[in-house]
Amino acid sequence: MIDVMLVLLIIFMIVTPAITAGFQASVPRARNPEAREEGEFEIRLGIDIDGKFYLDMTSRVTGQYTGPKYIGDADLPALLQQLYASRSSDRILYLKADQDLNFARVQEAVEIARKAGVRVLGTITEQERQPRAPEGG
Amino acid sequence: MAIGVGGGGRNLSADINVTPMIDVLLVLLIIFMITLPLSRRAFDVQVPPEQKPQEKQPTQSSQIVLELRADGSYAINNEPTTLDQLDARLHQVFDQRPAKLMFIKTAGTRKYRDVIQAMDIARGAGVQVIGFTPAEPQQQGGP
Repeated sequence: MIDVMLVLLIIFMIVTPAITAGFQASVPRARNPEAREEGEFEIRLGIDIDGKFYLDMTSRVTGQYTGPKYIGDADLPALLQQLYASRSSDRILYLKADQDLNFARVQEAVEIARKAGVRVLGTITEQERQPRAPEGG
Repeated sequence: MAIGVGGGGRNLSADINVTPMIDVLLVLLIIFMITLPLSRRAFDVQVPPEQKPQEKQPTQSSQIVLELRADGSYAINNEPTTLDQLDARLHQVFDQRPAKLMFIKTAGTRKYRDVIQAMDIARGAGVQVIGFTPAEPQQQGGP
């Protein structure tokens, strides 16, 4: 029995980062973000340090979670449009972008989302607990 | 024998008592499972629909627009300010305003980190609703 428990624990520890494998972004830290519980069918858009878009969601049709998938720039608008066309109330897009990205890239994503009908953007951050260190511009 | 207390039953067992360990592991497992989805934090940013030119709101002048300029400076409604003063300035602006709404306009060359930092400061200063201004095509030049 203890074997099973240990194995479960190890599986959890390994799988958690592996789920996000293929997509790596160091999320910015902030002191005053709100807690946002993850919803089952929410749509997350990731932008990694290279500016590549990843769509991370559980399909409403199949109910399967496949992990973040790379989406080419050309495909994103149509895909988001299709996803949000069937949603009337929860027009929120969670954005997980790397902190060192130029805002122009984020802005592009925002424009695409805007055209797809997204009304609220949830910019995912990490909670910062200690006082902010002085940063040089 | 009358004094054979436990004589036959004293089987020395070399097994560790695993029950408390399993308890601890289960609790760990449950903690892991619960905190994973709950720990996420985010800022909500409004993405206003694109306005047609004739729908321009007449209240434009009362809006607060925080600008992150390409040269690394900050401005609130075209009034230049610095990162250090931003918190105080935003407090000054929003303390007497009932509508805690602010727009952020960012130059494309600024880092996403700066935008989050500005939003963080704004939240700390009491801003409740943050919106991105629509991108202006002529300003999307890149570096």
